Amino acid sequence: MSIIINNVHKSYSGSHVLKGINLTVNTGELLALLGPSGCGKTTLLRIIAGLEPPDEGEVLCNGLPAAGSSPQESRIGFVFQHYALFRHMSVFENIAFGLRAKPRAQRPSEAQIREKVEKLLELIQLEWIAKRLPSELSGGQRQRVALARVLAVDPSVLLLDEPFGALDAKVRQELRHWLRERHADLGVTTIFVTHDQEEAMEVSDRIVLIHDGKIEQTGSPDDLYNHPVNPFVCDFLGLVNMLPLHGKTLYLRPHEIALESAPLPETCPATITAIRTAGPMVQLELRADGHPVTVAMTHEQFAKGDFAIGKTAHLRPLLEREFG
Amino acid sequence: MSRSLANSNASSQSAHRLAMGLGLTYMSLLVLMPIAGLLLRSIQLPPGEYLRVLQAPETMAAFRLSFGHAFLAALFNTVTGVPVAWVLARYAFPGKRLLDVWIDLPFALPTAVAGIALCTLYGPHGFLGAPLAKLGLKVAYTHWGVFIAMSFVSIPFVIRTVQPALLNLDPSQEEAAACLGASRLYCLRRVILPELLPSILTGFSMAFARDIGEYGSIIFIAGNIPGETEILPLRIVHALECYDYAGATVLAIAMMVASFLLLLLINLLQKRQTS
Repeated sequence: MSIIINNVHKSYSGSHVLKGINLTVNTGELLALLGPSGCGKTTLLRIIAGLEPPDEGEVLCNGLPAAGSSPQESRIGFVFQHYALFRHMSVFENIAFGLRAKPRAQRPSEAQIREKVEKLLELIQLEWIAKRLPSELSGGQRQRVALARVLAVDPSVLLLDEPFGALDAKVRQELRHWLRERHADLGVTTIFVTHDQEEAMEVSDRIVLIHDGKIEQTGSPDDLYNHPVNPFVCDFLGLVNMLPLHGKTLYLRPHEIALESAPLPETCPATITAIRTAGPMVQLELRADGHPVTVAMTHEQFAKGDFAIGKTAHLRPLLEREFG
Repeated sequence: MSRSLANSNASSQSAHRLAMGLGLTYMSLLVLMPIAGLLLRSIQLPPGEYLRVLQAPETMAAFRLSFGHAFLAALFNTVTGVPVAWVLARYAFPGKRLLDVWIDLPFALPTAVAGIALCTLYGPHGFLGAPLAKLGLKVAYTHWGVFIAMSFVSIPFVIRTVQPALLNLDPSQEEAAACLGASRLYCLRRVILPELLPSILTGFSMAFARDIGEYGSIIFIAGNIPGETEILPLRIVHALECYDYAGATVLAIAMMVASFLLLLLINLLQKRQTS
């Protein structure tokens, strides 16, 4: 299902949370709504879900207005940040909820429900916890149960609010991977909200970066990382150095600066203040004309050069990125 | 390090003992001792006394009236109190704060005042009593009066236990149910009510207990005809007025045992619900 968002505005008690959002989500896409806390991304997701009406503008699902139709009519699956599992129901009953809630004429038989729930339990690799209550599950298990519960009603759009927010790092990593794979299998249009740029880049096909109620940039992870349209996007997507050079201000990532031992016309001198190994790269902290600068290089490059704390090196930008 | 940890453990253990000791002492002084005194008095009575008092038709009628109507009034309050709690928890309307305070009044009002007020309202010439009498329903000085008085004094118990539970409900659970295609009614039945059930049961049992023990407001409106509209507590008072201490003790014991067993049953039901 494709979704078109037309000039959506939303205010809460005087504060303007969304200021004219325009966005098209393509069928089968895996889209990330990325932004700092309080930027309005969750509100946008809730409006797409039909959980809240926009003050202005409209949301079209497959060309039809979603406004007025409640979530149950538009087949939208929403996974809540804290999962919102039904506490007094077993995992099995939680997943079966959407099937049992159907009006009598559309409701599948008990055998069909059982079959479907078992298939979903298999999909989330948790067949053995069907009888447990949500309180007896780990965070990662709850997340997967919440996803299975939503998938049971065959949604045409999947909306996930901070799906990995409450999980520890290792489980997060596993689930990200798992979500990507499930998306590849199922091909359901999926939108998820996150404040973690790494997560957005790793999981999604396309990122929508929102800041202060407005879209700053939309594009592939590569677009946003390598071709940001403004300083905010550049800074939000990863570490960036603001380097004043020959009257211009360049925005350069640590690996976009080379260190030379001798001055060249385009270089500027800097003093090394710290050196540390950061996984596959070596990171050097320098000071150039009072500005802190971080430079990253491979271990091989580091071994070739003659770098030590207190020594002077010359910064050479590998590309020219500036914002007018 | 380990030493100080052990020390703090020891001191927290003695704090536990102190708290437990204080709790049990208060409990004994305030609740257990009066009841133990009653029990002590009761075993000194000859068994014939029990039969004499309990087999009297007026006693049996009073038992039925007190427990039966307490049950009905508590049930009625549960059915009406849950929607009131819902409205107070979910909706904003002018005068809500006032209504919220109003609900606690039956807690504070002297029961005699409640009885007289109800009697005036439901009496043959009262604001509600007159039209009801025209319809052929006599409330004051009948068993309906008992029911009305009991309902009045115990309604806050249901509202005050269910309201906080409603406020604590996670709104995303209801949103999740709606997203999964559940109708409001289905959501109420399968998501909201099961979450509220423990507090509804608590409210019911508190209202029930209060109604069994209620005396002041009922005697003004019930008519107090022995065998018809006389409640158990009033029978006890009557026995005392006639210097029939043995009879009063027997009634008190019987009432206590019955109440205890019923409340125990509700408690067990609740345990099963929450686990």
